[in-house]
Amino acid sequence: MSIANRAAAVVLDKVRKQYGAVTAVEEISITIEAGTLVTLLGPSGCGKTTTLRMVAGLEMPTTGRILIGDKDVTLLPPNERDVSMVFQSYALFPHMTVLENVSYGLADAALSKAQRLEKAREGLHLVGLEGYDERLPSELSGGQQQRVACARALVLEPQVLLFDEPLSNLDAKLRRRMREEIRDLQQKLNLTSIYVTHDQEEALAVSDKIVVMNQGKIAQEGTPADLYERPANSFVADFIGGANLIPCDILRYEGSTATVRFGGIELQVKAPRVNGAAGNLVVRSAAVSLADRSTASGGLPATVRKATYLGGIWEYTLDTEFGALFLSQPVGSRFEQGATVALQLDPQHLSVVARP
Amino acid sequence: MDRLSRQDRNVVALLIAAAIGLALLPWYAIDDGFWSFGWTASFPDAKTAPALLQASLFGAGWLWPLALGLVIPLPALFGHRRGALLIMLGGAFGLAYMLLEGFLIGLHGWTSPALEGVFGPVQPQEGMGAGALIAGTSFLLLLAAGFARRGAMRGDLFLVGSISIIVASIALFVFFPVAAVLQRAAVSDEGRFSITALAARLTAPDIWSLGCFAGQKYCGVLWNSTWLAVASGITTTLLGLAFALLHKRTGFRAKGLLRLLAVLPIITPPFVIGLGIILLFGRSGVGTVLISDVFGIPPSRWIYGFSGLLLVQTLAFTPIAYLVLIGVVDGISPSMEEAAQTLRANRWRTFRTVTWPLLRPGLANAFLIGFVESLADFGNPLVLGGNYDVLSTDIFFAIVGSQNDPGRASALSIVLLALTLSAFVLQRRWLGRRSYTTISGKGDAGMPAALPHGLKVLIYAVTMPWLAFTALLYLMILAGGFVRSLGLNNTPTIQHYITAFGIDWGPHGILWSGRAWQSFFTTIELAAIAAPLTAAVGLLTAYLLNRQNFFGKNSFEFLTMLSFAIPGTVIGISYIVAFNVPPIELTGTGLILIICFVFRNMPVSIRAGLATLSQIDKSLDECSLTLRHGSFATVRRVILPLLRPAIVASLVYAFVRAITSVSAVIFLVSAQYNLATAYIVGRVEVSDFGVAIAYSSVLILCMLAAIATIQLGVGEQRRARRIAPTPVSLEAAS
Repeated sequence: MSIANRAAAVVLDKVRKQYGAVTAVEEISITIEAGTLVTLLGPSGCGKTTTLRMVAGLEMPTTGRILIGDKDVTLLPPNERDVSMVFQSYALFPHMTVLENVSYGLADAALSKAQRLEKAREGLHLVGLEGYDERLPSELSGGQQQRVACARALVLEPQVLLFDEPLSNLDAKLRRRMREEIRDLQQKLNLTSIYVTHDQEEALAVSDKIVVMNQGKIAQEGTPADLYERPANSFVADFIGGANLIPCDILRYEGSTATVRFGGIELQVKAPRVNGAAGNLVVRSAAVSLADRSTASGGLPATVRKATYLGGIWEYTLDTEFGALFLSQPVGSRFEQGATVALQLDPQHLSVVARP
Repeated sequence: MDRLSRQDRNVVALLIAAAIGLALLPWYAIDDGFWSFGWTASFPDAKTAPALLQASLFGAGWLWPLALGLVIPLPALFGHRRGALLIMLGGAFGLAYMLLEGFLIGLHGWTSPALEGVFGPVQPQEGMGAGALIAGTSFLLLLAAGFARRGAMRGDLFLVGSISIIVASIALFVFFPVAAVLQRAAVSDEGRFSITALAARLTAPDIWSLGCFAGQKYCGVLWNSTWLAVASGITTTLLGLAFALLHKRTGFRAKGLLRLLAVLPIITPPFVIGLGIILLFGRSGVGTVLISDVFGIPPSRWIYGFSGLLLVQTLAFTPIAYLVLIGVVDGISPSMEEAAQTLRANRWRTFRTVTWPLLRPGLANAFLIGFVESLADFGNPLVLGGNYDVLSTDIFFAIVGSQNDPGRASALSIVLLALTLSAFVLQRRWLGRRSYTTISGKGDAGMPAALPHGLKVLIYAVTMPWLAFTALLYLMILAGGFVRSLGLNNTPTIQHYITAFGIDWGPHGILWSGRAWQSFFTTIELAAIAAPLTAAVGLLTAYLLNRQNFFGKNSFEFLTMLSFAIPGTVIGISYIVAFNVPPIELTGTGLILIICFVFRNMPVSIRAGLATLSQIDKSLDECSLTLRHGSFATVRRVILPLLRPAIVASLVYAFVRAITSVSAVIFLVSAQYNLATAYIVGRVEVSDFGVAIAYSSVLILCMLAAIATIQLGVGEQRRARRIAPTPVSLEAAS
């Protein structure tokens, strides 16, 4: 017996959720292809967990439809949907052993007790926890509890697997390893997964597609590279990778190349067209190179206000004529606090978004 | 499995149940009880016929429309577009019509002469019976099924049904009786509804008179009750605080003694303390005789009245204040006191500026609880009141004595209810705004500050004599059963026990010849039935309140808790007023006692359940739901096992309270269903103290045994900790 793949696509069609006067999720539509991992990313209170819980059936949408594999499940209770979920708190039943926990969801299926246990052991094998059958959850470490929670969700062979901030209770090192394991499992079993997190690095690492949410709305959706390199708005540019946003005037477009002006400088930047002339230039560390002002020719003058050593990189706060910039640079070149530097911008790595 | 078909199956089952109720079971109550099955012999005659036969054969034509409740939902089963609405409509109609016909047509035909004028005479009908119960419940659940089908509570019939049943039963067994009392107070002696009669009763001078300030001997009964309640509230709070501080903030070693002190009043029937005081300080009490011998102070009747009542209530309710305040003292984070001390405050200043202000809301709460307990206390005033009338006993005498004036009893109930409800509302408000103690779930390290020396001395000086006094009192009670007449004739005897609990061997085996056996067995039986029901209803309510969100939840919570603030005497009188006549005729049955127990004691189960549930992570339920378990299966497999401590607490409390309660049940007992407490009170009233004391001692011991059994049976079945078969490192292999 093995864990079969029954992955199905999920469609959220104009789904909206309102609590009294508060709108938690505004009319959103998302399509999740079968076998892909889509992350809902955003700050707390953006509606990402509510959206996930609506897919699980733990919340009812106020309006709109939810389809799983072409079947309308909007009004179905969670236990009649073909989904399973890994909870932030793991939600392991403290009065059941690991094996009982993992086989819990199999109770309804047309399986004999022996088959259920075999399947549960299969699940535990998958997450590398053989031999832990008879432990109680309280006797496991955080990472092991997380694996049990995953195994319990996996053995149901759900059409959709849901993750609600599954790693936020783990320490940084374990978090990194577990996210790789989750991604490996998801790809190996080709599962449709929806993954909620507020950690942009985690989202970039595990996702096929990311849906960035803000204040109940979708801010942007796309592949990790799309979002990082071509943010659609200031929120996404800031939330993913913490870019510097420099106010600029958009002078004109020639095809997909915009000419922008900021602080007396004009630059040509490849960027999707935005409405209006008020823009923000998106400047990430990768777009900037620094050189010693005394030796380099050209470049924009800047002063180092603060320099922080972080092992592999230096973090600089620079004062420039167009405002403060926050950058990280590889060690190698080093600039003291108070030094003046020449700053080069690489238009290849710049982008422009509308200024809100 | 298709959801609609599952919902349809539920509706079909409910329709079948309703049909059974209407067409197969006796519609009206059977005189010697449904479970006697004596009625099957003559079934179906005019007394035992089901509703539809009553309508067709026995002239109760007004029952016909009930069948509509079955017909209306039918199209829903064949995919009618408005199916959910039809199901709701059918259920609502059936239920509403049942209530309507039940209240309009009574033992003497139309209950209102005006209707007789319009519709002509109609034949009388009895109280509702098994058929009506089944049909009514099914209609209610049909209504719920309709709501569920419209997506209420995520379409979960178990949840919608539970809410409906609990709301309906609280309405029926708490609010309907209270409303009946309110209405009864406005019925004049001639049997007419009259606002003047209500006004006259509510403003009667024997309630409001302030004569005791104007040279008369007594004040109105309202003032008597209020003075006593305020005084009791203050003394119990102060003593309770002293004990709480003794327990938590001093080096006092014998903490087991304090725990015993806290348990004792729970298992002691309320009037037993009064009894002990009589043995000690009555006119021929041990203490009185001793004092008069040694100091030459002539015996007096000082304990019969305010001072005796205050003493007894302080004894009885201090442990409750102690339990409340222990939580409050515990809730004061030691780190705050440590912070005060690092800010150069000495012990007094720390106590005065940090500890005391933090204690204040808890003290107010304890005071209000003592206040309400004193108002609701019935057993002690009955035993010790003398000429000092209080509301709870006045209500009793207004209805059972020679007065037999339900109107006056109802009016007095309204006054008492108004007092306790105001205290309850005040308490909710106060606690809502002023509670400083919050449980963050984070451990709080640190040592609580030591008490100022003077305070510590004071606490010991107050609590130690009090402990000794309490011990002496219980000793009196236990000893009193083994002497002929304590104080007067101290010859040892077991005659009282033989009178009460004698066993003889008759020709047919054991003969329970003792006079107490009948009430003893009834009490144990009814308490044993009521306890699991109470726990089930209370915990289910707690689950709904804690775990589910639904329209009107806040009012629902308020109403369930409100029933806690209704004094037993008021419940008792209201049950008599409400359930003595059709459509729901229950007086004289064992059922009314069980119902009374369940709804009186349910709030404690609710609180125990809420406290435990709030410690159980909600994601466990949600997780179970996503793991293919419905909410009922989730409750059974996840919630219940984790709720075990609350189940034990609820069972114990419900069982013990059912045995010890007096105030409500004394109105409801009958010759067939007499209860231990009512029997004992009867003995006390004729000054047969020996038997009363012997019986009380047996009850206390029985309850101790019962508590131990329940603890062992339910509580200790802890899952044996399992050890992994092979030693595996706890850290995941990396």
